[in-house]
Amino acid sequence: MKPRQGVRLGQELLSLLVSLAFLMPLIWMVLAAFKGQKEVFVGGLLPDTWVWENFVEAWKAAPFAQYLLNSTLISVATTASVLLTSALAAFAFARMTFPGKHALFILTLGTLMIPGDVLLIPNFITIKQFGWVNSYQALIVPFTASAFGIFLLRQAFLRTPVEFEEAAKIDGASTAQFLFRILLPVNAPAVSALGVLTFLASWNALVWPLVATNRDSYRTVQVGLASFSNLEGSNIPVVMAATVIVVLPVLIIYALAQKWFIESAAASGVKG
Amino acid sequence: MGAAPYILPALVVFAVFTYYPLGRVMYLSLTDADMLQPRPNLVGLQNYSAMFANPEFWRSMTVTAIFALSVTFLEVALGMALAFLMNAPTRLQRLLRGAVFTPVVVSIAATAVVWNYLLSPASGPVNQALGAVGLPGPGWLSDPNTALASVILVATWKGVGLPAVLFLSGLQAIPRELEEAAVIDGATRAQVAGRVTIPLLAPTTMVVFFISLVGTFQSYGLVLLLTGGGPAGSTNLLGYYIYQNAFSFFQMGFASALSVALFLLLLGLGLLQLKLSERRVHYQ
Repeated sequence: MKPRQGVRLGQELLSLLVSLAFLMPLIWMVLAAFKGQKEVFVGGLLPDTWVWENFVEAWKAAPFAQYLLNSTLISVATTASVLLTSALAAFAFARMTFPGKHALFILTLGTLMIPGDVLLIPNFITIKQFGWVNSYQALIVPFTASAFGIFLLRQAFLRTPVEFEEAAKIDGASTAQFLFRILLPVNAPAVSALGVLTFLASWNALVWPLVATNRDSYRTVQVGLASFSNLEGSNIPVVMAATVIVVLPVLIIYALAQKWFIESAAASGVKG
Repeated sequence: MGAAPYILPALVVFAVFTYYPLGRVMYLSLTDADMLQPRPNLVGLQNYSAMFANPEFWRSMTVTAIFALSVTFLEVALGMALAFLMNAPTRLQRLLRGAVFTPVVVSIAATAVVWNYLLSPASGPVNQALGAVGLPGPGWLSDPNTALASVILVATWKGVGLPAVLFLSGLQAIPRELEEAAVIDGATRAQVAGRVTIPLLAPTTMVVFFISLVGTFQSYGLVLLLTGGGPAGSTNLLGYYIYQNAFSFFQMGFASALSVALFLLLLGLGLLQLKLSERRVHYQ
């Protein structure tokens, strides 16, 4: 059994090295956020003295509270809308018969073939015409429906046994009651996978928020961070402190619900 | 009534923010639209002939092809290797799975800020570490010879977690009996991997290949913040070139023609994937 133990030890060691390779940049980010301005470039890995003021300075130098509020509002609203519109459409496509159903479903899936970047210019002109530049609507409304979401929930609804619906009807439930009281709770894993992915995409979005806003009052954390690092680029510890402020909420949620995130991501690959 | 209240909310959003703009970008590509001109004039195919005559466009296409193929290759190869390691019954399994996927949840904006610092030429941590073992550190993002490779590495660090997780769930779906049967027949570990496991992963590999390829064609957020397309255009991805023409030079018509080119490219890839997945072999 000797060679097998050797393989095992090699795997443990390799796992440790690979984990460090992926985490090191973030560890470095956090440690740099606690260093002095000169030490960032000349010192060792750990700060000589831990400079907590970097966080205070970053927090004061730009309206990060406003950015965080904006991002939270936009991500929550987008996620709630996507869950609602996807559940409704998926229900119709999975459980109802109506004229043009097949064509409309093809049209829905067809949106997956049209990348967002191709639509950047015309959509910018549209929100300009709506007078939506610098508004929450501009950052939410274009993303309130998701073909991927409809597809994911439709698959889940198709797998749910028909007897559930018959039983609900006998108990006097309306169609909408059946959808919201039974079908959605029963399919909680698919619904939460869609929720996680939508929230993450919305929280981390960069290019659209960058073109759709130019005032602090509507900026998201990502745009705020990008412009902050341009302005304060020379003060690395403060920039790193700002980055920690922006990344920390997602990292904390991820640390608490790691398995959930990874399963959601795995579900996203099943669409092929 | 009937199904209308259920499907209309989504369909209206798709109509206004996907299908209408797709038509509009095609129309705009035939005009001299800029930021200031609300009623652009039709100019025929002028933007397209300007595009094909522009060396910057061809360089951008070359950079995009190198970037997309390199990142896709790295994501498929490393993703698969990482999945094998993540699937091994080690005590560090949880840490490893968590670590590999962590960069996926970190935003592009934060990724760019952190790597800008790590790769800073004079005394960034990476070059400091290289200096400590007596190696000269390059100007990573500021040297035209290394900038694209640096962006490719950062994009892979950020992106490979998703393919790794997809390969991992592919691995876990493979029935153990098939691998065990090969072991009983006297196959070595390498033979089992090469002759049984990796061929069985073929459907996952194809999904990962196309997800990565299509994704990299569109991912220019990193370039936007890391290099701004430079130095000397060496990292000027097509997506960034569109962004730059539209929002820095305000040439909406020309940028729309570029967008249509990107659309046709991705549509071609999408159709290719459909064609291939019809023929794909199912092993189970």
